[in-house]
Amino acid sequence: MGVTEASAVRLTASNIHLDFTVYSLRAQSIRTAVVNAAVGGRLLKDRSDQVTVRALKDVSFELREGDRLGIMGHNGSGKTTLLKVLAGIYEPTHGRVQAHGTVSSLIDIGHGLDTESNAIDNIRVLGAMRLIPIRRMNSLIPEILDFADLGPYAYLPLKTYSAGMQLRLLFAVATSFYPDILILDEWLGAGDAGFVAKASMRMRQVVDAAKIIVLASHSTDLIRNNCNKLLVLDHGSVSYLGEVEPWFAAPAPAPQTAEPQAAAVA
Amino acid sequence: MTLTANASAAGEFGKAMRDIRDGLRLGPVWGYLALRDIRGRYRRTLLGPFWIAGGTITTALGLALVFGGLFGQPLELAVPYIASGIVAFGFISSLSFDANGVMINAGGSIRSIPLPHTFYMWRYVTNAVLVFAHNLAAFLVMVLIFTRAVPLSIVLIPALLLVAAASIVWGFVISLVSARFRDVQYMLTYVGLLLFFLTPIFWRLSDLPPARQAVMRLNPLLYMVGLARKPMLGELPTAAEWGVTAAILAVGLVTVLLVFVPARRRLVFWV
Repeated sequence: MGVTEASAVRLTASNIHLDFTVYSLRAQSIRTAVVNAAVGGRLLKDRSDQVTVRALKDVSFELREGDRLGIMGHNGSGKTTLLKVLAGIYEPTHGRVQAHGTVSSLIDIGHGLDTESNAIDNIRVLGAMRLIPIRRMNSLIPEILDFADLGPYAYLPLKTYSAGMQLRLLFAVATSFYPDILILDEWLGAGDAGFVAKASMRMRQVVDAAKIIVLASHSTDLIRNNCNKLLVLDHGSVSYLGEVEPWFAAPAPAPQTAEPQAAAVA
Repeated sequence: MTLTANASAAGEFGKAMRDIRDGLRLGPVWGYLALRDIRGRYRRTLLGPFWIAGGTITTALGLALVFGGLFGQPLELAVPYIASGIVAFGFISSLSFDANGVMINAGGSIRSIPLPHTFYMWRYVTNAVLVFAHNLAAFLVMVLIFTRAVPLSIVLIPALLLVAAASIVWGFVISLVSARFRDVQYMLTYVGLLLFFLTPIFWRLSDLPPARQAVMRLNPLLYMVGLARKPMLGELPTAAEWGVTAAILAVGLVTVLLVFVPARRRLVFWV
């Protein structure tokens, strides 16, 4: 990878469609598959045991260095699905996603915690699963422990931690990766009053350091304060794509007005 | 780093190959995680490694006492035979049938981190190979105690490599099919148990009447267990054992392509 190319961080989505089949437990059994094959695969599909979901329809955008894209939409409009496509977790049925630069998604960061192990061990595993080189992860450990403020608990198994301590540790790990392209499902914040200010400052640093941000949120304030572009999803299709303020200034076309905060601002 | 997710039907085969290649490249990561999994089993135990091999030792001794007695064999003959069979069968079944939960158990990771699917298989395989190493050590200790000799043959290395390759390929297929069809997981527990009894592990093929021997020869595990076990006892595997195991590997490789190429994109929705 050439140096010149590395400097041009880009994230492009071209005509993304995503359909997927949700199997009920019945459809996920062999008996059903055999019956399906015997009757030509029609019978049980029609009984809604197997539902095909069209999660995304023709989503396109291009983000360049410095872009902060906010994604809004109702629950179930496809925000998280789109983030997962951008992160490479889901592969689009049609269309393509191209990312130039390191991508890190803070989706379900807590997954894979081992409560029998201590903080240091867990930090190494969380980093390894996200392909952060072990040497780099090791060099991050003191700083993460310091920020999470675990004191002597750093050497005790996670099951002895309070909920707040676990949250602080996760937050500290999640905000230590510093990718070029950062994909966020809601803003990360953490716990108790004393920590909130410290956390939001660190989150700000991570966001400022990232060259491209994609942030899905329900909070209009968050998006207005952090993003320069807005994508509004409605049932998997793009109903608005452009500058942030015009969308809030003009009363949105019919489908989006149900968004309570948006209505209040307009 | 460039990451491209491109949905074109023609590229499905290429993308499956890329998954396999990327999975192999992540060796240091799954190697580290698998080592850690094993160390996790030692945690807070006094005799950690011993407990991993304990099942093998107790089963082998128990079966040797009863069946060695039934067949009129002294322990110094029965123990190496039965223990080698259990270690060989355990190696094969852990890499194949027991891999059924690999993708299902990795569901949380598959749905939140973009790693190649083969990554999870390799992590599991490394773990199973390390467990096998424990069992092999336990076998050597037992044989040393009962026969005062260790008859390992150098052929053990290629034999184990071939057996492992054939088992891993089928284990990967099983892990994918189990994620799609949830019956498979339950079924395999019983298939594994049935095969444990149908494969000459604690009995010998020659003990059976000829007609039944012919039926037993249809069991592919007979050849795989034979190939893995004989070098442990200082014997050479037969040509049939090499040949059938190689054929199982070849058919498995084709099956992997038929299953993994279409399953790769969809797996994330199954787990």
